[in-house]
Amino acid sequence: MRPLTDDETKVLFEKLAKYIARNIIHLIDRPDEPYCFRLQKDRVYYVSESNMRRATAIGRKNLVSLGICFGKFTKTGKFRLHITALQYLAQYAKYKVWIKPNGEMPFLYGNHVVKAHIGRVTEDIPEHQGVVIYNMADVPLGFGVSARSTVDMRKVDPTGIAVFHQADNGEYLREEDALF
Amino acid sequence: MNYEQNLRRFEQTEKKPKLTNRLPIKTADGRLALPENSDEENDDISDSAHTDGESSVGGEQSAEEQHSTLEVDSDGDEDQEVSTRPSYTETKLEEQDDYVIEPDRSRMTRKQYIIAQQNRLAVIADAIMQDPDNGVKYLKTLHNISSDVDPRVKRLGLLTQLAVFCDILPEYRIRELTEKEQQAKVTKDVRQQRMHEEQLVHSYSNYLKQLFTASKQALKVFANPSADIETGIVAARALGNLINVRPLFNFRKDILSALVDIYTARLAVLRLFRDDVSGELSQNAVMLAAKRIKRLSYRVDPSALRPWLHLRLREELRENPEDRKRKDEEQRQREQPKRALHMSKKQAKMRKVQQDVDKSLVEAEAEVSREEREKWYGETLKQVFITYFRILKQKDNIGGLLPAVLEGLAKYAHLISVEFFVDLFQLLKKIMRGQHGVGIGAEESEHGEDLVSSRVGLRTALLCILSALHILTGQGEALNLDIKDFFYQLYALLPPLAARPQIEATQATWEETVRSESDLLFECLQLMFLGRTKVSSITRVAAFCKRIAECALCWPPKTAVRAIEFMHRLLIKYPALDRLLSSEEQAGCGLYLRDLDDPDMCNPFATCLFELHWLQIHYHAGVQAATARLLNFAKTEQKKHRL
Repeated sequence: MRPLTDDETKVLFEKLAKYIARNIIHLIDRPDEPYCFRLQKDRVYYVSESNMRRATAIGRKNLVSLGICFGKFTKTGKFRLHITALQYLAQYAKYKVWIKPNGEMPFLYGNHVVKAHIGRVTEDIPEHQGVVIYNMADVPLGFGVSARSTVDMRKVDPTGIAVFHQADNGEYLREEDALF
Repeated sequence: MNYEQNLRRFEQTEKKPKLTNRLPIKTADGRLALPENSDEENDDISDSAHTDGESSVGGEQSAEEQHSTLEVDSDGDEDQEVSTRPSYTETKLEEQDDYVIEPDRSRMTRKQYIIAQQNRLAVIADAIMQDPDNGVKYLKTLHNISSDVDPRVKRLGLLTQLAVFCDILPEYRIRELTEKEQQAKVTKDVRQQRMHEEQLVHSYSNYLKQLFTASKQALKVFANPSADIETGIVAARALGNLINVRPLFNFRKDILSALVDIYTARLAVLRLFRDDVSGELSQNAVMLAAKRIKRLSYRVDPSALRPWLHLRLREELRENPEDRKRKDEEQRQREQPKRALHMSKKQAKMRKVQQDVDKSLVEAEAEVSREEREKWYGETLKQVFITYFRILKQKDNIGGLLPAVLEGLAKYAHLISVEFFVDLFQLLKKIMRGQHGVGIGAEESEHGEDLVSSRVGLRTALLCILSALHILTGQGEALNLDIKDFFYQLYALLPPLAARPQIEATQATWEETVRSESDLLFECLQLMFLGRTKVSSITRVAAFCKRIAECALCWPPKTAVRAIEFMHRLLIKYPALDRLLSSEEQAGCGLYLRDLDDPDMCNPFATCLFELHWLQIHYHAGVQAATARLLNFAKTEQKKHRL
């Protein structure tokens, strides 16, 4: 377990900024307790400082997990968000898409969101921005990347893709082995 | 008769025995006649008028004398007329000829002069009214009196003419004859009719010219302080009356273009909009106003835009049920002949005749068709929106115009094309955050931290939100957008509104009272949370609920009661808000961030609505009662829940 290098921090924050923009501050500047990011076996964990201190007692090889896993760095040095980060992304999301009940299952099986399934969208999403996906009862289901801006979304035909799939809650089952 | 109850007269006013110091006159047939009762009435009028007026004894005496000499002059012809022509109305007309002679101004006081002129006006107007066909020639006299030097007489003259014209002008427009028509031979009646109409139009145009010059001179008051404002006001009012009473008569456009410049005439324009059936008049007026506003490069008084709020665009551009019924009928008739049995030739003929008659009946009814209305109102709408958008885009006159424009936008929001939504929303956002205006660079707008800016009035910001909401509820619902930024803005506006004691104040303007900020706020909230669709994020609703409860502590009682009632309705629509009222069921994690202007992130479920218990001991009984109702409701709901 070690703190992130400057390069790594930059890559991580750039990725996060796509979803929660300037709300990253709220992740770090918490009123209750200081939190930090730690790297362990290529994975980035978001963890409270007190927990982190306790974890230092455990050797690198033996430490399986701590705090909340936000994602992992690939071999090429890119950062990949995992579905486990959804809790925080959903809380601070800048752009949101709500999908109708008939679109929930297709999305949870790993498909892209088509226009017909969209119930409501935030008004000013640009193209290729991170969006968090909710069902109509405001339960977060996953996240993705907008395929079109809100304005253009209107013009697409119902089967056209509105949001590209990136991660969804179904992964807890489908990728149980690889996730942790 | 009870003597006691009779009105008593003072001695002076009691009728004196008639003393005439006039000489007998020789009539045409050689008789000598004393000038006795012929104009007793007139004498009476002038007598009483004189006593009404302030008594400057010497002057009165001389004036009376003078008056009587005038009468003597004309008496001769009068009697003659009586003897030769027995018709009553005729005599009356001629009898009053003496009033056509102008009283000599140099020989009486101003008061007397005015009264004399007043009498003349009354008699002439009366004469015209009795016989409008022949009376047209007297209009010229009226016109002359109105161009008098004395401003008061001038005003009286203008008003008299107004009354006369209002009564004698026809409802239709008199058009000029073509050359062909002029050459064609016509009967005597028609020729007379034409002459009469021509005269009428001519004198009407003269009258209008008078009004225009009067109002224009008054408008120049800043350059020339001696300008006669009162006459100008009278003229403006007269113009307004004319356009309302006879909107279809000639010179309509001239009147409208004059009215556009005048503040006092706005009420008339307003009434015009309301009564306009075809939409043509509205279109003319709006077009002229828009042009004028553009010419002044948008530096006009906000009240210039107010009348537009009264256009009938809201109803007119919708299909009204009567038209639909007619259309259905036509459709049915078109289908029927196919099914109908063979008709005999006679029947077919009858039917054709019937159709012709129907057609002409429709024409006679002069109903304005839907297409026509649509055309005119469509054009009006275009003008209105062009002006609105231009004003919104103007960077340097953020001042008083914006509220008027925003109100208009909110009103006609449902008519705005979807294509403009994106731009419009951007613009509204910028305005409400105070990032739109003088000396604000674009780069600053990106990093503006605070949502609430001192550059924008609370009222303007509220109106921005309201227009956006109206646009969305009008047709944007199809898009189902989540206008997050407007929610955030309203949330951020709540504390400053709570610190504003004059939240309930309504501004009274000339036209009606402008809505108070409290009204605007609750309309916004209503549209946001109690509309047809539910707001998805319950956190957001809870955050608003909490903040409104906080604000209710500071607001004046009336607004506080509204706030509590609003929360009550929220609780009914969003049962999940229960968590704010019962601390046992579940405690949220984290802290409630009271000062964060972000309803989605302030974590409201970590707190509860303890303010309600403060409100229960509020100094105002109404607030107490409303709070008690709300808490009662919450209690029963929770009981139901547990069972």
